[in-house]
Amino acid sequence: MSSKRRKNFIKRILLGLVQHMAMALAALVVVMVFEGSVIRVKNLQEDEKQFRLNPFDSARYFEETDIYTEMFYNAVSDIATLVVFKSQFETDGVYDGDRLVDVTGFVNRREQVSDCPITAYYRLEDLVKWGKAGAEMYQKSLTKKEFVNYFNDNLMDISHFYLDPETEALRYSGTAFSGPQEQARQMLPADVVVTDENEAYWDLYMDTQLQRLEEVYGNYQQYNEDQLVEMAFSYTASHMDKPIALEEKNGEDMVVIQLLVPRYNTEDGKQLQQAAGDWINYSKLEINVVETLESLTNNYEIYESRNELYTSENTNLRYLYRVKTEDGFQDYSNLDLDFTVYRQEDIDTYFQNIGSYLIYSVEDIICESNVNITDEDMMAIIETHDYVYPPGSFFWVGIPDEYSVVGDQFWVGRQAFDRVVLHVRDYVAMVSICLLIWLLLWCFLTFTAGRQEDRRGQIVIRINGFDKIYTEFVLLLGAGLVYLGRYCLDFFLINTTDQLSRTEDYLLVLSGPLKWAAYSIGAAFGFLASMFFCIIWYSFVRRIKYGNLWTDSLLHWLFHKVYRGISMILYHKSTAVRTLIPYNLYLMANLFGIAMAFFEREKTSSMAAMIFFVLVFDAMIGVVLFRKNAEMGEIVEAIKRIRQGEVEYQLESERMHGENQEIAEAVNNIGEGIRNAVATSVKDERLKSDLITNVSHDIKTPLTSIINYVDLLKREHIEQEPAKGYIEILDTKTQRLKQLTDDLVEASKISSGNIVLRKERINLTELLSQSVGEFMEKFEEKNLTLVYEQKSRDAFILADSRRMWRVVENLFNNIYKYALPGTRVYLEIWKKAGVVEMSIKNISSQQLNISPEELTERFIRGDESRTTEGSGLGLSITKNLVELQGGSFEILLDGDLFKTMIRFGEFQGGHS
Amino acid sequence: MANILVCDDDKEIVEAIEIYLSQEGYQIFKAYDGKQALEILEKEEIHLLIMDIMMPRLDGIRATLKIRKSSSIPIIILSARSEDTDKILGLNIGADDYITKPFNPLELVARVKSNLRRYTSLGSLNPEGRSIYQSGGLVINDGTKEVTVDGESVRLTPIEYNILLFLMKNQGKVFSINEIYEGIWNEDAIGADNTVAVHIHHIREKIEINPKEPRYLKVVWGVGYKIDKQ
Repeated sequence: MSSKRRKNFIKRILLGLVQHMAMALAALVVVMVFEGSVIRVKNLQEDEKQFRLNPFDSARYFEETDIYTEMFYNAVSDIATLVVFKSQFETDGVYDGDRLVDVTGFVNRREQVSDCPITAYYRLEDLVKWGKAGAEMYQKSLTKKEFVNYFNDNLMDISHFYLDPETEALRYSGTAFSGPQEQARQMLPADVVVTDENEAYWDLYMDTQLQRLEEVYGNYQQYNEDQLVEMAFSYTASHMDKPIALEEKNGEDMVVIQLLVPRYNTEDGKQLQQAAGDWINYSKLEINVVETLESLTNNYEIYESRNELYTSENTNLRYLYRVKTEDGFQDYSNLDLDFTVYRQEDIDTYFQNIGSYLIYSVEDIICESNVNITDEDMMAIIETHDYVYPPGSFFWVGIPDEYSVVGDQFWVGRQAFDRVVLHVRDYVAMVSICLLIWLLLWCFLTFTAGRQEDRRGQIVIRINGFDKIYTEFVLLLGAGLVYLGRYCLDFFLINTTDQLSRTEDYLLVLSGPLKWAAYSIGAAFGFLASMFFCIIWYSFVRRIKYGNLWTDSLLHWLFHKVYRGISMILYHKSTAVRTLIPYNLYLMANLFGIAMAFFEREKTSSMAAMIFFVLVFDAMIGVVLFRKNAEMGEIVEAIKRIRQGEVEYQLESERMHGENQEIAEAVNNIGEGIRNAVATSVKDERLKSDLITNVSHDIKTPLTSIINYVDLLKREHIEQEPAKGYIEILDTKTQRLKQLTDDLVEASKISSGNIVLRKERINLTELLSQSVGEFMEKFEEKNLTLVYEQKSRDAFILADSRRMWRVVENLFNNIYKYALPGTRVYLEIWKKAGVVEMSIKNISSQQLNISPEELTERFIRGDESRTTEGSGLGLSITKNLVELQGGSFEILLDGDLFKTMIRFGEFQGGHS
Repeated sequence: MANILVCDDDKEIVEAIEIYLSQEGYQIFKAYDGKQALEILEKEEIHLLIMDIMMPRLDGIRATLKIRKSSSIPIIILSARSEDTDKILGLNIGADDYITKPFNPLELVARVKSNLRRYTSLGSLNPEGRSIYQSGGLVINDGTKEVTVDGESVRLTPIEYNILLFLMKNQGKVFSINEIYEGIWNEDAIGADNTVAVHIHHIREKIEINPKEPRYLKVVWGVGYKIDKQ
């Protein structure tokens, strides 16, 4: 990437970042506005109540907003409930634990009618303590007789029995039968007041009672005790409000019943059972006590913990609830004023001047208020507590506008209003600016997407790897991201703003410490949304500009494949006709056969014949196909063999059928062609080698004479110059010519592979040691120091030992000829992972401006001038010899450092 | 002195050889093809024959085969054919030595002398006695610490002498450098440098006519050194 392109790339990245940051900022502001418009206040019934301001409220003052009305209404409702609690727990505005609570009355305070004829009075404090401890039950097991006589021995008394007026059968009555009293009462004049002291009544009563007893007695005598107990038990059991269970124990029916543990006694020191008197009343009273405990305790807990919520120190709200009682009024207020001395009108005036106010008369159902609260709203509040607020009760509520009590719900609301609604324009402006920046950058980046300057400064469109992904996948990715984004939005924002009343349902509630988390999530959401959108968008823009929107799409690929398939069929028309038509005919024949078999299914024989024909036909086709494929397999095998060098391989083409026969013949021809070519090439190479050999022989004979006569000349001891010099030159040049012819023959033989290798197991380390011994003197002559490092004492390889010697000799000779005198020569041998490696390093005396590859070519020497001794064939011979023996030869040049490396596979076998 | 027949179709080569050999005091007969050589051999008493292979009328190989039917004089083949196969063929059909062209005149003279010595003094040696070891023309007498090659004594350093004696005592067996070191110094070969190989190189230069193609102390490349039984 050129620096310009890199700069451009970085610029785009930075602009993109700015763009995403703008979106993040916009999202942050939106989240802040929505989060800031949530008001959380303490509430009587719940721990926390949330209200949400409409940030775009047109109201100029907090008091004009809907939320203010809502909060006001909530407070009025709260106080109505609070007053109910106060009426239950307080005497003269102070908690009074000694208050007596009528259990039956409390339970039925709303209905004011009870089916429980008796009640019990407990101290309020006892009930609260009892309720906090919980209503415990214990189990009692009684015989039927014990059960019936549990409260009183005389419950089996005859006075509890009567005769059914219709059937005249003996019946049990839970209480002493009241018939005689009523009869006596009816016999008296209506104006007589019936008391126990009234003798006339008493006499009458006794008379009727006696009369009745006489009637009953006869019947009563006929029953034994068990029968009577059974009668009393079944009556009691059926009239009780509690479940009882029967269990058999030691052959006797036992009654098992759950009873309330009487943790506290009634106000007059009685236990609950004592207060009841019999099972029927006890069961009703017990239910009432348990219900009272639960309800009262629940109320008490709210009262205890939140009583302070609406004291004048804790709220800006002022109230006076005047509850009508039997003896006048009871006032509940958070103002330190004795309103009893004021007239109703004065109180009205006082509250009307407060700011926001509400005056409500329960009797008239008229709500007077400058807050938007209707009569119906107030009725709804009273409805649940109307036993506390009888007609004649009044509500006065007022909230001053100055909110002098800091921290209460109205103050909090006002703060939020000031913060959000009054500044909503600023926020909108900020968001607009951010979006504008985003949009501008978006336009710019869209325009410049993919545009780059090439080397000549022309604008070209370039795309990156992402743009080459199939368009459909990117679309799918985009859709997935949109879905994910919507899910996140639902999760983090919509849930927490639109459905605040159900915040407990959601994981993330925007409160306190989570506020900043919400901000960062909002910002991150904006950033990521912008980023993902832009990545995909710019990619599409680039695709459109580059023109690969369609070409790199899955649909295009599919289209292309289908197109190719059709074109192929059209191109190979004959093949298509040859294969597809028989194939279809085959299918149709099968179908036809099966169909025929199906139609002929009535006649078993013709159906069997049809199936048989189809099977035979299919089998024939199968055989033909198998034969065809088998032949094809043979052909493939043959081609494989020929390719691997087995050029003599021939297919038996006469055996083959149809097309395969043609192919087989062609393959045979190709094999033959290759065979001929190889033979020719081998022959040529051999001829060449033979030619060189013969020529060199022919050269050698005259050369022998020259050498000999030069030698003879030397023996003449000619001292006169320049003749002596000439003889010297003749001597060296003839020696070189001799060397050259030898090397030439060898090189040509090796390169044509025209030599016989006698491979055996040799120790390369030993061979190197021997070679070093041979060359020690020559090296010393040139003042070369040989450093021979044997990292492996035994390095066995499979090679022709004399050829290996030739290799090493060549390399050493090279060093002798070309190494810089006075330097060191490093010879190393080591084994590594089954490979024997040796390297020779020396410093060249001449500059080597030639590549290692060229050095191993024939007639190349390190010095191109060809003035020094050597034929230039040494390295070529060496390389060829090493490779012929299965090794590898490598030359590395680094400045004047000349390094040769030879590698052979380690020979693992034994002596050969 | 001995009579030597030189046979080559290249007259100049024959002349040159004549010059070298007559300087050594030999009587030279010249022939320019196989037929001529055979004729001279019949007429004259010849002690050694130097012959080329590629010659008109009768080539060296056929001539050698014919000569060997009746004579056992040393035959040295002098040929431009330097292939191994040529050398093996020549030696197998009865030649005693094989020199490739172009040759070193000194080597030729040395080989002629060596062959003549062995031809004339063959069987005159008495290899009896335990302290005398022999392989072909190489004799080492451990009693007198004397080494002779074809009757000529050779001067060796004590270490060279010990190495040669060790190899002569174990003729036909190949010894690696380490084995030689251990056999002579009776020490572990750890750290043995290239001295043994260098010494052997020196020995070969002293006892061989052409150290590159040794007759006695042979290099088995990659395995070791040996002296063959002859």
